Amino acid sequence: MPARRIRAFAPLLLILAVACQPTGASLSPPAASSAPSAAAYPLTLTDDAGRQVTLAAEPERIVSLAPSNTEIVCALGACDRLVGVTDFDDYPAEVADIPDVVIFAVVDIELVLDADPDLILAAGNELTPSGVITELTDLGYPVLVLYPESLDEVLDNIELVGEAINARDQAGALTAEMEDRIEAVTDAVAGAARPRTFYEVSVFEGTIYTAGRDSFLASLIDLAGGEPISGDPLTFSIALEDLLAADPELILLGDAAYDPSVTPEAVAARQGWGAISAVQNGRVVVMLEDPVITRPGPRIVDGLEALARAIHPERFD
Amino acid sequence: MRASVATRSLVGGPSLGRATLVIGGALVVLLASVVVAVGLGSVEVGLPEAIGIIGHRLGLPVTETWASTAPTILFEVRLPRVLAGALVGAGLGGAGVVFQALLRNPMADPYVIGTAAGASLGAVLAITAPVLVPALALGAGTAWLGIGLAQVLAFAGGLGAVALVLVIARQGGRSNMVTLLLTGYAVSSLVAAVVALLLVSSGRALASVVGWLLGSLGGAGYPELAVAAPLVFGGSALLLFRWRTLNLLLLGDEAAAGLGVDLVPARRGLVLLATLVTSAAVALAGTIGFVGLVVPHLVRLAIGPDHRLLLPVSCLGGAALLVLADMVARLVGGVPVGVVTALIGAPFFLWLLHRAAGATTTP
Amino acid sequence: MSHLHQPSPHSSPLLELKEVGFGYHRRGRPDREVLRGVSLSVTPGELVALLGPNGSGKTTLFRVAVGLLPAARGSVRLDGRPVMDWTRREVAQRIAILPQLPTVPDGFRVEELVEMGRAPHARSRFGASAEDAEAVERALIDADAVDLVGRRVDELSGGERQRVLVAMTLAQEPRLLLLDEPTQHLDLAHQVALLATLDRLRRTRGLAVVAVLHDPALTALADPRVVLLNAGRVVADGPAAEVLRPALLARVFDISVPTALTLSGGSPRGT
Repeated sequence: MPARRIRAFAPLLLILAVACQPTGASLSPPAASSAPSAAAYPLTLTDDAGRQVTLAAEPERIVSLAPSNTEIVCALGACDRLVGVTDFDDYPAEVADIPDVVIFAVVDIELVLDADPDLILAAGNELTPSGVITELTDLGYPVLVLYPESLDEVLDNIELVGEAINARDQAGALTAEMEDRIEAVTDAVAGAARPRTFYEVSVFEGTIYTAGRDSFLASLIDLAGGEPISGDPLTFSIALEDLLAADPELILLGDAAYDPSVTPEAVAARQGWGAISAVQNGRVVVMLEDPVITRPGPRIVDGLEALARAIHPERFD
Repeated sequence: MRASVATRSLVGGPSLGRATLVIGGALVVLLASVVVAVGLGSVEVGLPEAIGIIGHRLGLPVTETWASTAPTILFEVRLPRVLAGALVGAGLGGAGVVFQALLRNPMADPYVIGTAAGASLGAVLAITAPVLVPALALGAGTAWLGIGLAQVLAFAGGLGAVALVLVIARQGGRSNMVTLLLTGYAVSSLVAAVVALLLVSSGRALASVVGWLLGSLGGAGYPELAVAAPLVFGGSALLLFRWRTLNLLLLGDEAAAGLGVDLVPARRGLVLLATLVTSAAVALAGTIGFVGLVVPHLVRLAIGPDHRLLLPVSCLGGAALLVLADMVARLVGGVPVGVVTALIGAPFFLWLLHRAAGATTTP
Repeated sequence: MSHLHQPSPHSSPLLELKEVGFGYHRRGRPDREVLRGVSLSVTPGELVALLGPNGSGKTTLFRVAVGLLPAARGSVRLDGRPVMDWTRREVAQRIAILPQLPTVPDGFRVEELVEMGRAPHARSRFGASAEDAEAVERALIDADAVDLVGRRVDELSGGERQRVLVAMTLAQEPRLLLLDEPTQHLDLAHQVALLATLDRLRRTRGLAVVAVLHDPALTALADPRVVLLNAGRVVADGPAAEVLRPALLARVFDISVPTALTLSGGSPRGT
């Protein structure tokens, strides 16, 4: 899927982009036609869950309920406005000093309230439980739910957040840079033969977890010039038989980033895996960049680049 | 021969004085638990401030010395949770007493004839349906009259499972309590298997399903409380009046019938009321374990087996226990309240077994 | 001890069984006829001893008499009405039954257990009326269990517990007492005392008693009307002297009884 080109007309294109969202709801136009960088509050936005969220004023106290959201805010230069993050946030370094409101993936409502936010950035698809979103909304807080399912949607999220926190210029610049880098990747791998690529998320108790069919991860592999082998879209698992039948030419070990025991040698030694082409040809690669490949935030392009280098090493360097 | 004054005073159950003392004491413990549980949480709201906030809400002229978010935390986040804990604990404590008497089994709990299994099925269906059949995705937080779909289906499931168990148990002729117990176990196992299947297929809803099964007081808002409260209060109140029947049932079916208990309607009424209360509790908070098992025994140890006092005090004690257990769960952080009750309840259960093994049997 | 065993003047029967039959029919098991045409009438003030070997149907007879089991054939009438027409509570106000193997729950005290006997008459919601209190005291006195008040029932000896259970039955203030082996666990002194109490109650209050007794000697001592049951049939029904004949007892109980006590002076009369 070729990347769209976005240049300096950020506000206009933002309106277009949001209008083309599957949810279809429209953005109430701020005073965008005059000074492009001034947002007018109160502002009503539509988030990834199709909810209309109204912001009364420029948010000064932002709570993020997912690491990707935190990275977006910081990438837009608003790190100092964060008053609550998750205990899983690790980038950039300064977020370590911000108090945690999500502990072991459980949102502590009291701590959120105590942080007195005027904007909460939640994650969709039950990563932030819908009950929590409802409770926070009922308590009167503006909650913006972000759930990008593709690279384009990550860019849209960055611009949505930029719109929300009056950082549209920064958002435009960031997405422009990301677009350039994406285009560079797709140009670099254009025309190359696409190897059947299996991305191992984890192997646990005999169950193999990988990218689900039509998932974000699968689309990244596709963009990076590989033919993704995918698993069940609900459970993200694939039976060993099916994997053997698909016979990947390249295996990327995402779990090696967290588990040093996952090595190409260990994989080759697994029962039945020896028959796979990738194993026989020695094309089993450790992907230490898994954290950025699987976090749908500003560094996702780093992930894309890592994937492309692993899939088509001959096109880089 | 005239009976002595001493004999006269021992008859008629606990004197009004003792009853007042015991029930009053239990009420005080409950109220204290509620106040402490509302006052403590992840965010520090000092006791003087908490009292001030409550006073202010009641209309007393108190100068505001607290953060503006403190009243919200107390009244919108903690209070509904604490009230839910009291309601659920009261329901489970009372229902536990009733099932232990009905089944003449000290190991019985309110879930034993199928309520937990049925309610779990209902709730898990509600949670996983949008994942399994995307067309059913109704969006975050869809509710009828402010009540979530999971709660409604859980309530219906609890009642439905027990109805099924009663029908099946009756097929064998006269339904006696052992048959009921075994049928309840069989149906629960079957339903649990279906729930397990749904669990595995739940995809992104897995965390929600597991959270519900472990039990949590966090999902109860004021609308849910408004619906559950009359069910729990009403059901428990009606059960309180049946203390005599419960006492008599302990003597065995024959003796109870000989003393005037019409067994079939009496047992049916008790099962229905106790199941109503239990289903409402489970719908509100999921399947929180051990409260219904442990509280009746603790209260019996403290004040004796006469249901006249055992039932009301178990309700109050169950309420206090769950409120405090939830407070501990919140302070430790991220721990489901069912884990705390299990940590208290399982050792106690083992001690009960140990004690029963060593006790002399009655002829 | 008085020899009164004929019916009292106002003698419409309290309990009347006519040709009552009852059996257990279970799928896959042979039918068991337990009662085969039993007829029995009990009038106020009567003391009836029910004797018979194990399995003769005594316990089943009691259950059918109070309506716990439905008679398959024949009729059971209480105060002239079919027993099934009364509510359980109404039956319990008139008949008290002391089962052979009662269940005694843990933790209750003597006076609490005896008070449970007041259940059929209880009117107040949560407390007990003065009436109830007096009835319990009277029952405790009659059953010779006053000294046991305050103690836990599960900590009593067999005999003590039996007295408490009798007290519970008496607290019910029935007009007919059905006692299934009331003398079990009791020492001789207490057995005699119990029979004396029953005799006194039937004389002073018109209480009718049907008691399953196992000891022919004791039975003779009380000199009641004796009903001998064997294999679900009444084989004898009359004054003790007539029924307690060695030959008859030997045949019914399948033993040899060398002597039997007579009513006059106790000189043994051999077979």
